[in-house]
Amino acid sequence: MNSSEFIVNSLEKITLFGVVKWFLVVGLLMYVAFAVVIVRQVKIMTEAVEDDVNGVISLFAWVHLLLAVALVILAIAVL
Amino acid sequence: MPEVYSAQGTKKEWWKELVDGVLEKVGEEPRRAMLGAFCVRPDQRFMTQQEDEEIVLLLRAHPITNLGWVLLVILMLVLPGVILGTGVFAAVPGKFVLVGKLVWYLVTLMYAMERFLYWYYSVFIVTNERLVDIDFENLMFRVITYANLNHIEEPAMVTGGFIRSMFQYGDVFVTTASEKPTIEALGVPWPHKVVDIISRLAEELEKRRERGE
Repeated sequence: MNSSEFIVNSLEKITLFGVVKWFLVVGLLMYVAFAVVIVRQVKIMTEAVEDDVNGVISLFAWVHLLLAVALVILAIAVL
Repeated sequence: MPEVYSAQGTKKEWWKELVDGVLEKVGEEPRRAMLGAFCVRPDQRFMTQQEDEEIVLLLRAHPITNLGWVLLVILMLVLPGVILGTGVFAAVPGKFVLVGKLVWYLVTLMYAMERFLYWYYSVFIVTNERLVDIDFENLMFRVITYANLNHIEEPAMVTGGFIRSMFQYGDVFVTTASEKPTIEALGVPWPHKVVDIISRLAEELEKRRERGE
């Protein structure tokens, strides 16, 4: 197989849903970065005022981050 | 021999007596009302709080001001079911629909969390010494404004309209002599009580100053 055949074969393997999958994965990676920002922001917010619910809110932000990471893994594995 | 006078004890507790007196005059006692939007003398602390400083009022916007985004979140939660029910995505593979739905619900969760955080952590604090306005304008931007009670002019409140009158909330504006002319608490419950407490605290502090204490 020469190089031109290889390129043609590779291009033929590209499907619409394959492209959608990788767009989705890239979008989710950006979302993970955003979830990290939220964790940082929650830390800043909880420092501003002491409150009983601060721990719960921090936990929520971390759960949100973990869900975002889990969704990236799911998207790569399932799609 | 009984102790007649303790200068240290008096100095240590003067602000507590001052706050006790003011709250008694306005008929308030330590409480947490309106889902934490109106807290009188909460047992909490905030950043930059000093040793001889106590929170008298901790205010947030009235919970009803969250109604708009709560309704939007409910709509966002039911929307995938409605759209999928129409069969628009019938040609899309099931695994894409599943991941798409999960992404949608995660974004909805993030939006709800963000709006809740803005509401919960944007607070207006009245202490025995000053007013502290903590605002979060976006995820990365925090604005904290302080105004000493000795340097404020007469506070004012604005309320009106059907919803505000019904749920008894409004805006409080306090004019200061500093560079930022007003410090404001928007949409807080019972603004008349807030203005009353701020006025009385400022008055009591002024009296102390005149007495040279």
